[in-house]
This record gives sequence, C-alpha cells and structure tokens, in this order.
Amino acid sequence: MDYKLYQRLVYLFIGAIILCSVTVHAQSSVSNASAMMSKAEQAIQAASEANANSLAPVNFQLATGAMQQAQQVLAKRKTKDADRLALKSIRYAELSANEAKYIQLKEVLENKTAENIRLRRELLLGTTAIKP
Amino acid sequence: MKRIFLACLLIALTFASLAAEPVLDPARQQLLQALDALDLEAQQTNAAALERLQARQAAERLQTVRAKDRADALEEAQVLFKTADFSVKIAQIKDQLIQLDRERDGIYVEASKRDAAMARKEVERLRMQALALEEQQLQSQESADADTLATQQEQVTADEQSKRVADAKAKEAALTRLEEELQAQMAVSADDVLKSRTLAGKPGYILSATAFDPGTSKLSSAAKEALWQLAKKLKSSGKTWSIEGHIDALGVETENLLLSKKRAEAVVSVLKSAGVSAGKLRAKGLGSAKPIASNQSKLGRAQNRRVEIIQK
Repeated sequence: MDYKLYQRLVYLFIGAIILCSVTVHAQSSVSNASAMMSKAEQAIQAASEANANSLAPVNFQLATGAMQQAQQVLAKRKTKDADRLALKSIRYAELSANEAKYIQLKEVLENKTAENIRLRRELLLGTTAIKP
Repeated sequence: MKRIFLACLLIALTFASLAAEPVLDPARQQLLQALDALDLEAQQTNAAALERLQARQAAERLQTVRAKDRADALEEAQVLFKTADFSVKIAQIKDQLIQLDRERDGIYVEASKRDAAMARKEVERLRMQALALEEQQLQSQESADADTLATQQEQVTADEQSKRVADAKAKEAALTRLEEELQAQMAVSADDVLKSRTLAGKPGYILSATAFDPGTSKLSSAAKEALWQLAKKLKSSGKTWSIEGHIDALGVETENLLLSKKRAEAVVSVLKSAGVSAGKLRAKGLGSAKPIASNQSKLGRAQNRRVEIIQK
C-alpha cells in the first residue's frame, strides 16, 4: 500500500473519530439539559400544587423566570447555561414549595392552638358539653 | 539558561501558593454560622438532614468556585440554606401539631372523665334525693299513723274518762241520795210518809221519799199501809187520780226519770191492790223537772224526792 494513502486513511479515521466524539458529546449535553429541564418542570409543578404561586409568590416567580430563561437558552443550544438555569429553577421551586408548606402549617398550628385553648377553657368552666 | 528559568518558575509558584492563603469570605462565613445554628436547632429531631447537608456542601463549594461562577454559587447556597431552614421549621411545626393533637385528645379524655364524674354525681344526688323523699314519706306516714293513734287513744281516753266521771258522778249521786234518804227515813215517823196537800188548787197527797227503800222503788211496809188507807179515800171519791213521781236533781236525768216513773208505778200497783180501779189511776215519772225546793241543800232535795197523788 502506498504510504501516503495509508497516511490519509489514518488521518481520515482519526478525524472521523473526533467528529463522532464531538457529536456524541453534543448530544449528551443536550440530553442532560433536557433532563434537568424536566426536573425543573416537575419541581415547579410540585410548588404550584403546594400553592406556592399565592403563598410564596417571590420565590415562585424566580423559579418560573429561571425556567423560561433556561428554555430560551436551550433553544440557542447553550446547554451548559440551560443546565445552570434549570438547576436554579429547581432550587427556587423547592424553596417556594417549602415556604408555602411552612405558611400553611403555621396557620394550622395557630388554629389548633386556639382550638385547644378554647376546649380547655370550656372544660375548666364546664359550660358546654364537649363532643369530638 | 533553561535551568535558571525553571528555578525562577519554581520560586514564583511557591510565592503564588503562599499568596493563595484562604481569603476571608464574609458571606460564606455568615452562611456557615447560620448553618451551624440551624444544625443545633435541628439536633434533637435530626430534621431536614439532607437539605442541611446540601446547603453546607454548597457553602463549602464557595471556597473553590471560580470567580465568575461565585455569584451563582452563593445564590444557590443561600437558596439551599433557606430551603433547609424552612424544612427544619416544617418539621418542628409537625412535632408541635402532634403535641397539640395529643393535648386535644387529653382534653377530650379529661372532659369525658369530668362528664362521667358529673353523671355519677348526678345519679348519686338523685338516688339520695329519692331516698330522702322515701324516708320523708315514711316519716310522714309514721307521723300520721301516730297522730291517728294518739287521736284515737285520746278519744278513747276522753270517752272512757267521761264515762268514768259520769259513772262516778252517778254513783256519788246515788250514794248521796241513799245517804240522805236513809237519814230522812231515820228522822221521820210513819205519819210523815203520806201527807195531804192541796196541789194546783185540787186535793192531793204527797208521798215522801222515805216511803221507799233508799235508792229503789220498793215501798216500805209503812208506806204500803198508808197507801191502803188512802185507797179507801180514793175509791170513795170516785175521781180519777194522777200519780206523778218526782226526784231530786242528783245524778243522771235519764236514771232520775226512770226511778221516778218506777216509784209512781209502785204506788199505782199498791193502790190497785187496795181496790182502786186501774182506770182511775195515771202513773208518770217526771224526774227532776218540777222541783218544789232547791236542789242545793239536803232539805230541798228531800222535799223534791216525792210522789204526788193529784185529783184530776
């Protein structure tokens, strides 16, 4: 075999390998970003179900804003930035969900405390027959 | 030359490493301190351990992160800290809710016990009330029975006493009369038994009480003899004669009436025996209704005890 032809084949093979690697890497980055976007959507959905949009509107808005930015960036194939923004969206969604749960539970706590005080007062005074 | 260059590079790297001593990062330090406080707070319940660990790792990463990524890393660390903080608070509230539920259950249990105690007390009160009422009724019944018995006894006693008093009075009167008649009988002679008198404007005779045995309607022999003598006069007159028995006011009037009537009948009986027609004789007892003297004295009572034989 001619040495030059052999050299060209080797270069061609190396080039193909590099091209495949780059392509695979690019595909993997996109899929990673898509997975992160999906997680962010789920986190926002969970926060929404916890009424975070009304109880913790600031953090919830930050989560949804980061999600929108991530989608825009992903459309431009800036997967790394999209990944970072999706993660930020997840963090804020989780924060808003926890804040909403905290507010709801705090209200429940106050109601139960007041209810117990009322029950105890009625029991001590003995004015009303208390039934559960 | 090359060796000199490598030596200089080594020295420069050494200085660079010395210069790269950990730089004080106030935001990171503050975050770590807050995390330490949060760990202490959640130490007992070990709540939100994963969230606290994530926040601590994020805070630790701030030391190694590149300058251009530092702002994002700090923001992430702060968000993770807030998330962990809320998680700890949520866990604490859940514990408090469990405690409140237990407290509420305790209140209900206490209320149930109180209601049960009150119900028992009410039942006991009603039972005692019923017992008291029953006892009161029994006492009332006993009292009524006792009253009735006492009234009956009093009535019986009063009746018996009245009867005894009446009997005693009657006996006393009879004895008094007997005594007086005995005394009179002893004092008077036979001629005093029958006396002629004008009665209500008509001729008549009075037979004194001494003509009878004391307290009876039995005529004495002297009286019978006198009446036999009188019978002759009565027969010859051809008139109708009323024989009236009288007595004093001692004793019971019913007995007095009876005795006066018997004495009148005894006189009639002797007169009839002596031949006087029964159709010419009318016997009646008047008791103490027509006294001729006071009943307060012995003499008066002696005069009142008599049998009058009056022409009609």
